[in-house]
Amino acid sequence: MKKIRAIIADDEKALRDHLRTKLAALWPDLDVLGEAGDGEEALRIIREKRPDVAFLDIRMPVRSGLDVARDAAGPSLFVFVTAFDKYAIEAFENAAIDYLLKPVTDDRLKTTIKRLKERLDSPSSFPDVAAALEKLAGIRQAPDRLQWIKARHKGGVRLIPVGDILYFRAADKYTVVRTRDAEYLISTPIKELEDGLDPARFWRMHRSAIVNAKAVHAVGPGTAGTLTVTFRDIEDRLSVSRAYANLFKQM
Amino acid sequence: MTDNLIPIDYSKFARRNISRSLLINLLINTLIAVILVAIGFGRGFVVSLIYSQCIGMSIFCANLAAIPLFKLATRPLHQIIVIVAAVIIGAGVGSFLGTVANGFDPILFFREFPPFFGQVVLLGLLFGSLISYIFISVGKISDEKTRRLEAEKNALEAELKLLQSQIEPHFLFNTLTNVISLTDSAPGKARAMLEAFTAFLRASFLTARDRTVPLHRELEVVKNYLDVLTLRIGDRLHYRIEVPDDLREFPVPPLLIQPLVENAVKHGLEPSKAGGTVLVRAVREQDRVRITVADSGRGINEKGGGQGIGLENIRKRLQLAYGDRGRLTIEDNMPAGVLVTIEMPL
Repeated sequence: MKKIRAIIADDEKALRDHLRTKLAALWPDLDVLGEAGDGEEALRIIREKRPDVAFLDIRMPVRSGLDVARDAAGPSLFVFVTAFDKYAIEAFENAAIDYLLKPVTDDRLKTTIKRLKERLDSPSSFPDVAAALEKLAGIRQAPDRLQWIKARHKGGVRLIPVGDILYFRAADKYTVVRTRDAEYLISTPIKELEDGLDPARFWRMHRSAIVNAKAVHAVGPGTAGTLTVTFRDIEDRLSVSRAYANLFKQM
Repeated sequence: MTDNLIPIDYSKFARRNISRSLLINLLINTLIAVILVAIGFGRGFVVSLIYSQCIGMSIFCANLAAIPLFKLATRPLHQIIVIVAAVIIGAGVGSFLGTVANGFDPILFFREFPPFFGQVVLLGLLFGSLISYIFISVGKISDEKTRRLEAEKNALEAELKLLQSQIEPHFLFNTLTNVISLTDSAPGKARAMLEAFTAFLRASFLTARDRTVPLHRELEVVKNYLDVLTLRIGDRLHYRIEVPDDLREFPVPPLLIQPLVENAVKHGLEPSKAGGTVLVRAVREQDRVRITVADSGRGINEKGGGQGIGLENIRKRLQLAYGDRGRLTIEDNMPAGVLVTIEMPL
């Protein structure tokens, strides 16, 4: 009988040893031909050795187990191993992808082994990992949105969570970033910021200003038919130009 | 800006309590008429009662009519102007109505009795101010109550999140798996890990229950946490905790620093192949204490998420405990990684 070839990837050696010992006891025909301590190494070994089965820890340095599976694009069957990952487990269940929860128990491992054997006998039954991973990636993170703004401050680089920002305002060549207790200058233009920010949270209010909708205290009448925005925690007032007034009128 | 200058959500209050306010208004008007008669002012109870009801009700109506304007007035000063205008208009209209209702010819009456008319207007303003004052103060009380409830809700939420986030499931299950896997191959190491983990659990449970804990106890949690991790991932993690002796007993909100260390490990060191160092340091400055958590890990990507929620929770708790004097800042650490600073008043 042909030996099944496998690799194990986990950043903690004790956990790799543990799985390897268990597999040796429950699946004697399995030949573990490599171990990896991070995602990069795992990817390299998979590409090089093209194993039948790859046991991949999800949270690994450099590349996650999910990324490894997506990028490997080989003929391997993937078994994801995780301590706790609600979204991933849901996605795996839905797509019939094999996974193991840490600590791995004998019973659960036996079930997985049985399933792997069945699948290896009829390669057409391989689950569509790529599609499931793509779906999962969609759930996990919003499209490339800015989460932090980096600004020079007192000789260092301050990281400001975008949720803390009340508004952005253009000033000459710079953009003023206003938080509750400070003002920072950054060189990213308003237009570019607008593209990176979540439009549901950050509203353009003027050619030269973007406001955090959550920070707005009130919208009132301003001069010459414009609207004026006031804030909860600071005294600043900004005006909304007519072109952008519609969103604010609903507040 | 003082507290009583915060715009009051007067409209909501007025609408909700309109029938009650109407009743109170009727009673006050009657009371005023009684007082006027008692001090011998005016021309008898009936005349005074008709006047007081007319003026009081007119002001009440003017106040109600002013509600839409109130919504537009975003500044306290504008709100005061709206009230004063409503009172003056109400008093004027009420005086006129009262005169007519009493069967006096208003034109003749006002011409012949200017002093009396003046008194009526004066009374109207007095009334108006009284009624409006009651309106506003009740409104403000409910407004303050809302604020207080809001603050309490925030505190509870923060506490709940704190309890939920106390032990990260990944950390829990990965550690247990390690212990299980080591029981056969390296029982000594398994025991050491279990001991460190137990110490971590005990320290964090003890810590989470109090409003504030001495700094050294919070750092005990941090140390136990890092000890478990060091046993697990070995050489990839190094740490140092530096606290001057005179800050050991400094009270801090519980589990404020541990999540920062967890972030440093999770987002900075774990994703990096080479790992790195976590340095926790407390420093006393003139009027405050500064606690820094620095790591030499991967650093923060502007589009990388993940840490935001935990940090928001910490910031909220800092603000609850110290107001504007509690601060949290995040910076790029030199030459690599992230530097998080907490500042608290002494």
